[in-house]
Amino acid sequence: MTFDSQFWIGLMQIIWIDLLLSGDNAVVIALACRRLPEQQRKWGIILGSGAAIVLRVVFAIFILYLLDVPYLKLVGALLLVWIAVKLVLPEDMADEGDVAGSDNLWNAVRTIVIADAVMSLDNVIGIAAAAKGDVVLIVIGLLVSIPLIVYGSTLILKALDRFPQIAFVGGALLGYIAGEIVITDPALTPYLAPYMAWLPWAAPAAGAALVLALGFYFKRRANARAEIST
Amino acid sequence: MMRVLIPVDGSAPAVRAVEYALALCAQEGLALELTLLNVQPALSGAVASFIDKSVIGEYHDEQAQAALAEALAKLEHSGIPYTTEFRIGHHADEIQALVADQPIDAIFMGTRGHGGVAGLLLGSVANQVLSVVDVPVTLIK
Repeated sequence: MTFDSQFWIGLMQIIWIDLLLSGDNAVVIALACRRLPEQQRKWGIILGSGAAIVLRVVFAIFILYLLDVPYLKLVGALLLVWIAVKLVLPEDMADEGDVAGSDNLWNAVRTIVIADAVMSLDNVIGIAAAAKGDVVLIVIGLLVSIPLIVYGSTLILKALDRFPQIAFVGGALLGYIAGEIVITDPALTPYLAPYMAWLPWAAPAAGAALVLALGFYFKRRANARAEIST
Repeated sequence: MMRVLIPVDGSAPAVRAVEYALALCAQEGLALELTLLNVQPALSGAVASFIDKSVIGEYHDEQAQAALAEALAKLEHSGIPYTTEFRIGHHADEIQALVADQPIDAIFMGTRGHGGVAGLLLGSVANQVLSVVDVPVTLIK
């Protein structure tokens, strides 16, 4: 383990990813518990936050073991692009929630567990990809995400509202990392070897460009649909 | 009668903007009609795909009421006509849209709302508003 520039760049990437992918988890937990009676709400939030943290640790351990399985980085890169595109699209342009308003604990817990699983997986894929297998970085990434889940609030939202660039940069960053990891997939490296002179910078750049292009495309399509319906 | 838009986010400068409008009416005898606007940032798509729209709506309502409460208390017995608006989106965009839609003559706005360190580094909502509207803007510290 060395604390070279690679480490610090990775650390900054991971903190950025955590900010964008952990804060939402806290918001979902709080909103899912909104309609519960006071006493149950407290438990819902405690259990929900606990599950979000445990799931992240479990996923991180799995991912560490799976990193060298052929094609898995390819799948991971595709997932990263998907996560990144979601990040650059605002509220009303994503799929609508089909979960009914949760006024009982069971419904709230179900919503939270599903959301925790999806968001933890997003978060851990982001962290693991940015860490490039460095266990220290993954652990730091997990530790940084914990306070964001527990105390995370609409503070990040407010920052994002004022500076939407944060989400765009985050989306581009995830696309960039997707490009970085896809060319190191053990199944692909034999075929990519002749192009390694330029792939290590071209693939990440293409990943970032792909995310921004998809983000703009979906946004334009959603805007066009909104104009037709009004 | 002049229609004045006051963006209100629950911060002290926003409340002072309301007090300033009240002082102009009381001391200078101006006839102002106020529109208080609260803008809530949209939740991300990730949140919207897990949480029911009605719950998100309730949450936004509650946040807006909390943000507006102090300003409304100041206006309650003043006798000054006012309306309140609450929108979801980006601050400067919503303010620009409201000024375009309604006969707003001027904007009074507090300059340092809730924004944190990032606000100091990269400029404020007030700056963004200045660049997108063409009515007079009075900034209140």
